[in-house]
Amino acid sequence: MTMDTSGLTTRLAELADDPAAPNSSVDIGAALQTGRRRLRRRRAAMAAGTGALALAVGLGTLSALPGQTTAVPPQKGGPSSGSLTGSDPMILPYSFGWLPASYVSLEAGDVNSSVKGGMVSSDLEVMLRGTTTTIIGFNALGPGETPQSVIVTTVNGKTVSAPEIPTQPINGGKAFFESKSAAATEFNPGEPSSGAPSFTTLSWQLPNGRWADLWPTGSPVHPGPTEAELRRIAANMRFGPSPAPLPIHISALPQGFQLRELTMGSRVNGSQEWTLMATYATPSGTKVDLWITPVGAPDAGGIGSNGATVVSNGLQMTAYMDDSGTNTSSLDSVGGLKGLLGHVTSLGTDTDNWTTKVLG
Amino acid sequence: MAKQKRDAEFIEYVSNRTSWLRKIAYLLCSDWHRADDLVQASITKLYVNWSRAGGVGNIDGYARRVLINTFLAEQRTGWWRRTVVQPISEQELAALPDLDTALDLREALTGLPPRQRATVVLRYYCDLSVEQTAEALDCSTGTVKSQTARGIDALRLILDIPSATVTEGARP
Repeated sequence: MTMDTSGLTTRLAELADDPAAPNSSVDIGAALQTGRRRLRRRRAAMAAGTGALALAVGLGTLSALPGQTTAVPPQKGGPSSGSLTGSDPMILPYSFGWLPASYVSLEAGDVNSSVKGGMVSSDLEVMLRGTTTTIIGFNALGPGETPQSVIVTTVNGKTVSAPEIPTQPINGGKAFFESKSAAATEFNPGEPSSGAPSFTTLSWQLPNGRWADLWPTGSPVHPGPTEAELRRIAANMRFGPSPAPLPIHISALPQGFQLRELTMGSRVNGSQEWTLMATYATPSGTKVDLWITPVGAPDAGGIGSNGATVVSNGLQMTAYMDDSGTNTSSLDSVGGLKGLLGHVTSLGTDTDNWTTKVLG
Repeated sequence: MAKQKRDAEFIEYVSNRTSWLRKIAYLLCSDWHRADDLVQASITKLYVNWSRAGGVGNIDGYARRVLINTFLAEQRTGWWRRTVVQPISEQELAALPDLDTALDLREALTGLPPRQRATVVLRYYCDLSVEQTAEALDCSTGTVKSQTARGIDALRLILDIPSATVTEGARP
């Protein structure tokens, strides 16, 4: 067998042109729907100004060695804001009082912050994951905003909105469903299915007059919650800052490192397969990832040549440098990656022992 | 009105280019369903930043960069199992099944670390230059060259190809 560079190009093309590839489930309408939500939140965050900045900075500030704790200021206002009161980097602005049995994992993540040209943008999504492809997202609209075009689909290259289907009030507030399948049926009953999953969104009015919605996405294998389940989730939503207990305590970080991203989640109900991932970075772009899993979890993975790992109290704690940033000298003050892990205390796998006082 | 125009432009572009993005995604992750997830996430980000994408004058390049970044970011989040980077022993090589050529290549790609895989796909499937690849990956041209060389070496090792038949230096 031989392969020159053009041969590799040809073989890659043949691989990508796989005639046995399944039909695409990419859903342009869903991309529009989610994209509009993010734009709406971004605009709301821009309008809130300091609220968005406080969230981004609040998530990004940790104590600097040696032993110097920086408190995170409380955050004010904003439709998706919570109160960041210091030692817990994961403050959920809402919490779920009831969930279907298959949705126990909570992820407060996908916080994308950027500062360019003095502009600060921040998207916050609070999601529940039952599987890697099924998500229930929650979104609270800003004051005066009303739900619109929650579900869109594409017909002959044009977007159409799903009809609102009224349902009984939730905690006294107006409520309605929107169904993508209803939209497709109404506007183009003859359109063949693309294989994309259908989904139903529930919108309802909160006691303070604002609107909120739950927007599950499913797959043919995991179709997502029923309408009755969505109603029950909505009726049991709790509002207000809710610190999420985490399985570690971090005493300090090297000077200059700030928390860039934090994700906590698990794959399936009742499983030990959860993962806590935290990315810390310096302004110059050097990144360190902390990866915490129960010992033996599939996501424990490998650490490659740029990592160090410690097993403690049933948890595997790994720290590694991002591929693109191998300047380990910035960790010299704490003794490298291994030394950094010395500042991380494992609290084990029993969630009763986890803490909301994570930092400092 | 501006919003409708934006939506129309986005839909037209994505309708025409989803298949292309899906193929790149498949080469990156070796799984069609996951490729769909990657493309779904990428076109959502593309919609949010559509005005910026139009401003750069090369929407294909922008979309491809979003896709690559989404793929690489996913490697860090833990929702997909990390690729373990370890040298393959001769014993393991001998135990590799005698698969058909395409499957061989797919398996070999899967064995590459994510950034090497992305570099090989960009250089050899998307036919980007070193400079263009560096821009897409937000790294130096030197990094692209070294990642390409390592990736090709690893592919050659896994596919059992003589070293003289693949040379990075032959490409601009």
